[in-house]
Parts: sequence; C-alpha cells; structure tokens
Amino acid sequence: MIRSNQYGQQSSQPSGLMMAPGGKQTQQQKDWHTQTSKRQQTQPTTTTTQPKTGGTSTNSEMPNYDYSAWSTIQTPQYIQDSTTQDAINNTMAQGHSNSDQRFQVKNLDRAGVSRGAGQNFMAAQEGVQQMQKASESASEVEAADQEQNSKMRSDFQKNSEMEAQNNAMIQHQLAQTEWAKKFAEESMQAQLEIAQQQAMLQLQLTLLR
Amino acid sequence: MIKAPPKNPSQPTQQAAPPSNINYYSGYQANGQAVNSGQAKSNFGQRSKAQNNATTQDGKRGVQDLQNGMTANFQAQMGRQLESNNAEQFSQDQANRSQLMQQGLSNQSKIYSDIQQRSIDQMGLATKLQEAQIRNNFAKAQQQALKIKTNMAKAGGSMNAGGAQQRAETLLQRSLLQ
Repeated sequence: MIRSNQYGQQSSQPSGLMMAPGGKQTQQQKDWHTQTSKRQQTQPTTTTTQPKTGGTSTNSEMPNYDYSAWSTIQTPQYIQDSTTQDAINNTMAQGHSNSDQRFQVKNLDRAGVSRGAGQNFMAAQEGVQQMQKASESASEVEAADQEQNSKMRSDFQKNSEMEAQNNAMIQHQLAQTEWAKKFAEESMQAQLEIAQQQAMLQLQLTLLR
Repeated sequence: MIKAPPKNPSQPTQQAAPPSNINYYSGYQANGQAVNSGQAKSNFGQRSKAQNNATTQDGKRGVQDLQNGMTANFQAQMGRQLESNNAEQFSQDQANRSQLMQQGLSNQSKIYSDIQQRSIDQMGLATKLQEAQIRNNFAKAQQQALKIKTNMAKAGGSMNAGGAQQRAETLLQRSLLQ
C-alpha cells in the first residue's frame, strides 16, 4: 500500500521488520501521535513495552520480526498559548499607557514645548511610535515562543524515534545472540550424535569381520 | 561404554526467511512551519493601531502616514526574519527526517541480513547432517552385505552366489542414493 506523507512524497506502507513510533502500528503509537499533535502538557506514556523477541529457531515458534520499541522521552514542556498571550497583553498595556495623548502632552510640557496644534501633533506622533514599539515587542515574544515550541517539538520527535530505533536494535542484538547460542548448541549436539553413531557402526562392522 | 546411538541424528530446525521488503517509514512529523508569518504580520497590524490625536487635518494625515509607514516597515522586516527562520527550521527538519529514515533502513537491513545468515547457517548444518546420514546408510548397507556373504559361505555354496552378490551390490548402491 502506498500513501503520501506530509511532504507530498509517496512511500510504501511499512510491513516489515521495524516500525517507527509514527508508523501504522499499535494503538499506543497512535496515541503517541495524538498527544504530540495536540501539544498536551500531560505526561506521555513512559512505560516501555517489551518488544517481542525474534529469531527463535523452532518451527513452532516462528520468528516475529516486530522489533518495535518504545521511547521513554517525555513530552516537552511547551510554552502554553495563555503564557504567551499574558506576556503580549502586559507589553501592549504598557504601550497603550505610553501612547496616551495626555501622557505625551505632559511630557512635552515638561520639555518646555508650548501648547497648541504643533505640540498636539508631536504628542500624536510620539504616541504612534510608542504603540509601534510595544507591538514590535509583542510580536517578537509571540514569534520567539512559537519558534521555541517548534524546535522543542522537532527535537522531541527526533530523539523519541532515535531512542526507539536504538531500543529495537538492542532487542535484535539480544535475539541474535540468543539464536547464535542456541544454534551452536544444536550444532554441537548434532556432531556428537554423528560421531557416536559412526563409532557404533564401526564397532559393529569390526565385530562382524 | 558407548551408548546406542539414535536412529538418525537430530535435524536442524527450519529458519523462516525474512520479509522481502525493507521500507522503514519514519514517524517524524515536524514540517518546519515554526511561525505562521502571515498571521504574525496581521496580528502586528492589529496591535499597532494607535489613536490619532492630532487636531488639524494635516496633522492627522501626517500621523497616519507615520503609523502606516512604520507598520509596513516592521511587517516587512519581521516577515523576512520569520520566513528565514522557517526556512532554516524546514531544512533542519528535512535533515532530521532523512537521518531517521536512513538509520531505520540501515537497521532493517542489518536485521534482514542477520536473519538471512541464520538461514545460511541452518542450511550448512543440514548439509553436514545429510552427509553423515549418507555415510551411515552406507555403513549399514556394508553390514548387510557382509551378513549375506557370511551366510552364503556358511551354506557352502548351496545358495545362488551370483544373486547374493548382486543383492549386496544393489544394497550398497541404494545406500548412496538415499
């Protein structure tokens, strides 16, 4: 089965040896995606499901290639939208205060500028500039928080999948070692039986002659 | 003392072949859209609107021009910066995804290769056992042939010597073909 990914490319449906946490696999992995996409602050599943070991060497226990492993990395503490909004509101409140016409007129009074249309114009200009300054700060805060969250999400996904991959390979190495030991036992046992049988036949042959 | 051997040496177990396709699919979903620059510019435009308190018409127009100019200037600068950051993040995300895909495929290949190697090892052991089985069969046939010849000698030639010889040879030949 072919499906498109988020980059518009097409890729085959995984069916083989190892799946990433995001692949179509277990319900737990689907849950992981839901959690990630919703940017929940709650703790993710921290337990590591025991991967099924593969490479068993008997017919009754067919090898299972599902080497899926699970990451223990917790969901990052994202900056909440409400936190960002609080910072923006505070900055803008200061901006509104500084751009207030009466405040600017008083400032100009103190600077010795006489009252009139000219002073009014200067006060209005200063008010606009103060408002711009506050808006710039608010936008910078908003963008910085979003960028930070994006980086955290990116790092989290990368590290989680890397850990899952490494866990899967460790499980495979263990299964491989286990199989190698079992196979060596089988081989040695077979060699012993062969030698014993040959010796017995030689003995019988000798007795016959 | 040598114990009686089993009739046939135990056979190696079959090893299932690995799946024929290696197609790891990364679950990495970051797509580099760190900040929605259009939304950010729009938000800035809304926030930066200040009251125009100039009293004359010229003054109002002047203040409005200043506000529009400053807003447009910052929106342009911010848009450029955000898009640049987004592009950088996108590039990084693509690299991460590619790295995960490559590592996943590499791991799959390693597992695939190990499973194939198991099959190869099992086949080697099976071949050795088959070889031993043929030798054993031959030895048993030799015993039978000897018995036939011995019986024939005991009978003092009353048996069909040519037929017994033929049976003994056939037995030996068949043992090699099993």
